[in-house]
Amino acid sequence: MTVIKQGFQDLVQDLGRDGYTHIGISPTGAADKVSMKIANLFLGNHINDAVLEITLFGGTYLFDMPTTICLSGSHFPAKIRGDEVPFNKPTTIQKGDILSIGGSISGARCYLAVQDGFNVADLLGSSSTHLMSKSGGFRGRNLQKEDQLAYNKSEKRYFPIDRKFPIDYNRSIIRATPGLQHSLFDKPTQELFFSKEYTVSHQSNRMGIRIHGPKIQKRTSEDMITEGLPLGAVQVTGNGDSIITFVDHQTTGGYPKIANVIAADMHKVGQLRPGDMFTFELMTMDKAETLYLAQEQILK
Amino acid sequence: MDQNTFKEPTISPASDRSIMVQFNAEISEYIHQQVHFYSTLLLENHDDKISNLSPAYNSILIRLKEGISLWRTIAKLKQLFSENHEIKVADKTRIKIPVCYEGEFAPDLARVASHTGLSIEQIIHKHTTGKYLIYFLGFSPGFPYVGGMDPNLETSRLESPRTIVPAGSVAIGGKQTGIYPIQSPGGWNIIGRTPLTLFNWNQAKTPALPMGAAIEFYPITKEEFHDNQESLF
Repeated sequence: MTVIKQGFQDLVQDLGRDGYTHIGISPTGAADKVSMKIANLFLGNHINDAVLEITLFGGTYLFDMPTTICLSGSHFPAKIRGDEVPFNKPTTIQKGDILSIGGSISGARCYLAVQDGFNVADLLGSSSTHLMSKSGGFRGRNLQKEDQLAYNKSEKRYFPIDRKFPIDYNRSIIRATPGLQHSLFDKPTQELFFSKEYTVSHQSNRMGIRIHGPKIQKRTSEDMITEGLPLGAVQVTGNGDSIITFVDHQTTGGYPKIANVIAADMHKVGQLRPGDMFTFELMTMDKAETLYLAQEQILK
Repeated sequence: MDQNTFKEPTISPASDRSIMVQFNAEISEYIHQQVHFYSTLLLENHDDKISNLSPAYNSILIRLKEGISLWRTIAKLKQLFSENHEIKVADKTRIKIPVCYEGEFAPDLARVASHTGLSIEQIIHKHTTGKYLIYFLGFSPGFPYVGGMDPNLETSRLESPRTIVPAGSVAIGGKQTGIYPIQSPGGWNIIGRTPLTLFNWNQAKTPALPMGAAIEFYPITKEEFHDNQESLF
């Protein structure tokens, strides 16, 4: 597939590079793993096959070989030969077809999957792009004009087009469990955190989603000892802003964590875009795990 | 309490997909040995349940694989830590790192001098006579959290972090000193640079500066810097 026009940030991603955080290597992987899996499932792919993650606005892509594609995630206008390309449905591609993807009309990201996935060099068992070190994925960076991203010539296949995935994409409510240092914040502060609205800052990226809201202060001025960062941890920085720890996060950090986004809502975080407003909803660990396991079942 | 009596760590969910194992709230070599022993044990024997693990000064964060139960794993971990373990302390790997503390390799040396009231010579002397321990790796690929710096070298971080810190930079951030194995952003005071290659993706499993290693720095000139551009691999 040849890039004719570059998108805002087209990255090759899979489910991430596990097993190396103790070396300081964050797992990365798709920002919205639910949509990424769904795009693969509609093509009968393995859920970990490499896809293209398209953020805010897409580019124009020429297909050099016949294949079948599937788009999933937030809705972006997508056209081939003037025809609208449907989301969550396989679309047959002929050699020479040109796919053009515009700006998102809902959340931050959509995913383009091809039959059997895109081919890039494996790095420690994963195809995902590690932007901080400019490694993995396609040359460790976003796709640019004239880049050629390889995929396999694929066989005819029966596609499971009738599948339904009942997934909650409402990103105005993000559910969270208490964070490891929630007791460093007094009761009124915790209540404030879970009742007021937050706005997503422009200074957000795959490392962290920075959010503005009521000033949150911890009880003591004492610093905590640096420790491992869980995905989705809401870190409260010195100036009162908060950061949701995201897929390309530093593996360790020293800011106190007031809350942690539940695993079943992490895909919503991947769809947050600057200016979006949302509230956190407090949830118990038990309920969060039940929701996570149920979501895993749906995405098999 | 006798310092060498093993005190069971607290084990609690950090999120619905991760577990925090927390030892005594202190930064010490004794606690480090426990963290090192148990994180190695978990990595070697429980990789069927653990997708990722982050040891730090006094804690281990365990991230679970898909489908693995949070509470059942916590129960198993509690059992593991209640068993009587003899903390085996391996001999430390000793690594000597050449550092050029001159010119463009040391853009913040003057800032450290004015902050600490020490001369450039005194800073280099104190930095190269220290005995350092790598407590753990974190932040970015291969980045070692190093303890043991002379407290007189403490210098606050830069007001605004640099977007690019070159690979091999040796720096001081507050009470800590460290080395940037790969080019990355960073807010520490850069006081020198090593010519050694410190991170290699092909050998990520055996990093050049591993957890638990003892390191020392020694000064080299610019000429030696250019003659010494070798890899630790």
